[in-house]
Amino acid sequence: MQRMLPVTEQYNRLQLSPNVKCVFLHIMVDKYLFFRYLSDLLSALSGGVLQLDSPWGAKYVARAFPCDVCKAAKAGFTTMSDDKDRASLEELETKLSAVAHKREEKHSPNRATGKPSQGMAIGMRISAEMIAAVLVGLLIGWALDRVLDTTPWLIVLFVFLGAGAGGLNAYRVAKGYDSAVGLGRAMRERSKQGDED
Amino acid sequence: MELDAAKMIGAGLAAIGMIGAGIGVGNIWSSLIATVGRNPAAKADVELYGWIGFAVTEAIALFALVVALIVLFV
Amino acid sequence: MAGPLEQFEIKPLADLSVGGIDVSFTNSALWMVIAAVLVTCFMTMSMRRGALVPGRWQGAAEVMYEFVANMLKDNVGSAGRKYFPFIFTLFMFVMFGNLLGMIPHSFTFTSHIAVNFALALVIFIGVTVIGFMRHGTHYFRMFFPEGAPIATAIILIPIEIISYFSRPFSLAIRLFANMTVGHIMLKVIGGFVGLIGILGVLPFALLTGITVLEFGIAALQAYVFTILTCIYLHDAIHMH
Repeated sequence: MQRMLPVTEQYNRLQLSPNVKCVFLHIMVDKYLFFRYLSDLLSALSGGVLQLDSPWGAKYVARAFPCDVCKAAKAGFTTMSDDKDRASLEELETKLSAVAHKREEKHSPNRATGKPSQGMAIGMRISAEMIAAVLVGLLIGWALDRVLDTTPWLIVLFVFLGAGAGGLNAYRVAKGYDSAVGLGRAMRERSKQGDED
Repeated sequence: MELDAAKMIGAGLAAIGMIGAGIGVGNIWSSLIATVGRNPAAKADVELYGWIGFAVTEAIALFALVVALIVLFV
Repeated sequence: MAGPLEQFEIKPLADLSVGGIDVSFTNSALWMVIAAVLVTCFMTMSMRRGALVPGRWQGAAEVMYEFVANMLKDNVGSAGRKYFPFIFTLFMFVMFGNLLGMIPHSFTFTSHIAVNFALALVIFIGVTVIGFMRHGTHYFRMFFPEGAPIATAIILIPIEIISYFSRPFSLAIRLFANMTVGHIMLKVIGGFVGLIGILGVLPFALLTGITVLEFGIAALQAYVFTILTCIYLHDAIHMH
C-alpha cells in the first residue's frame, strides 16, 4: 500500500511548496485536510497509533482539482516537484515507515488485528471479559441446577469453568489472540501472520 | 425471617475473602511489570508464570464466591 | 441537588400497555428515536448534493463512512461487505446515543444494560446464525481448539462454550459500565462545584477535563462496540 506522510507534514509541505498559487486549492485542501485530520485524530484516539496510510488522500485531491495549474500544484503537494528532493524524500519515507512499522510491532500487542492498543481500553475490556464469563457460568450452572435438581454442585462447577473461560478470554485480549475463539487455532493464525511479516 | 437475614450476612462475610485475592492479583502484576521493566528480554518467560500465578490466585477468589453463593442459594 | 443516579431514571412519557405488558413510551425510547432521526437526517441531508468536491457536511459524512468501511475491510475482509449497512447503522446509533448523552439534561440510553444487551443479543444471534448458515454443523468445531489433545476436550469444550456465550455479556457490560461510570463521575464532581464556594474552581477545572475525556470515551466505546462486532463476524465467516 502507498504510504504517505502524516497530515501535519503534508500540510507543512503544502504551505512551503512554491507551486501552490491557486487560492481555491488552498481553501479546498484546507477543508480536506481538516476532515482528514479529524478522522486521523479519531483513529488515533481509538487505535493508539496514527495511521500513516492514506489510500484516499491522493484520490480526493486529484478529483477536486482538474485545472492545469492545480494539477501542477497537486504534483507539488505530493512530491515537491523536484526529482532530487523527491528521491530523498521517498527514501526518508521508506525509512520512517520501516521504523514506524517496527515500533508498532514491538509496542502494540494487538497489532495483528489493529484493535485499540490504549492501555485503558484494554484494561476495561479485560475486566468486562472476566466478569461476563463468570456471570455466564453462574447463569448456566444455576439454570442446570434448577432443571436437574442437583443444587449446588453444578453451580460450583460452572463458576469454576466460567472463571477459566474468563481467564482465557483475558489472556487472549492481552496477547491479541482474541480474534478467534479456539485458542489453538488463534495461535496458529497468529504465527501464520508472523511468517508473512 | 432471621434465617434469611443471617444468610445474607453470611454471604457478605464470605465475600470478604476476595480481598486477599485482589491483593494477590495486584501483587503478581506489579512484580511482573517491575520485572519486565528491569529486564525486558525476560518478558516471554516471566509472562507465562504471571498468567499461571494470576489464574491460581483468581481461583482463591472463586472459592469465596462459591461459598457465598452456596450460603445464599442452598 | 439531585442524586448522581437520578439521571438514569426511566420515566414513562406516554402510558401504553399491550396485552398487559407495559410498553410505555419512555424518555429512553424518546432519545433512541432522536438518535435514529438525527443519524438519518445527518446522513441524508449531508449526502443530498452528492457533490464531487465534498462540502463541510458531506466531508463529515464521508469520513464516518470511510472509517466504518475501512474497519470492516480490515477486520472481516471482502466477505463482510454484505453486512456493512448493519455495522454502519450500529456504529452511528451507539455513537449518537453516547454523544447525545453528553448534552445536559438529556438521557443516555446506552447507560442502560437492557438497551445494550438487546443490541448485543441481536449481534450475537445474528453472528451465530451466519456462522451456522455458512458452515453448517461444522461450526461446532469453534468450540474445540485445533491441535489440543482429545483428553482435554471434556474441560475445554465447556470453557469454550461459556467463552462463546460470554460475548454478548461482555459487549453489553463494557458499554454500560463506561457510560454509567462516566456520567456518575460528572454528576458527583459537578455537585462539588456548587458546594464549596470559591474553591469550586478546582473541581470545575477537573470537570472540564473529564468532560473532554467523556467525549473521547463516547466515541471510543462506540468504536470498540463496532470493532468487536466485526471480529465476531470475522469469526463466523472465516472459521477455517
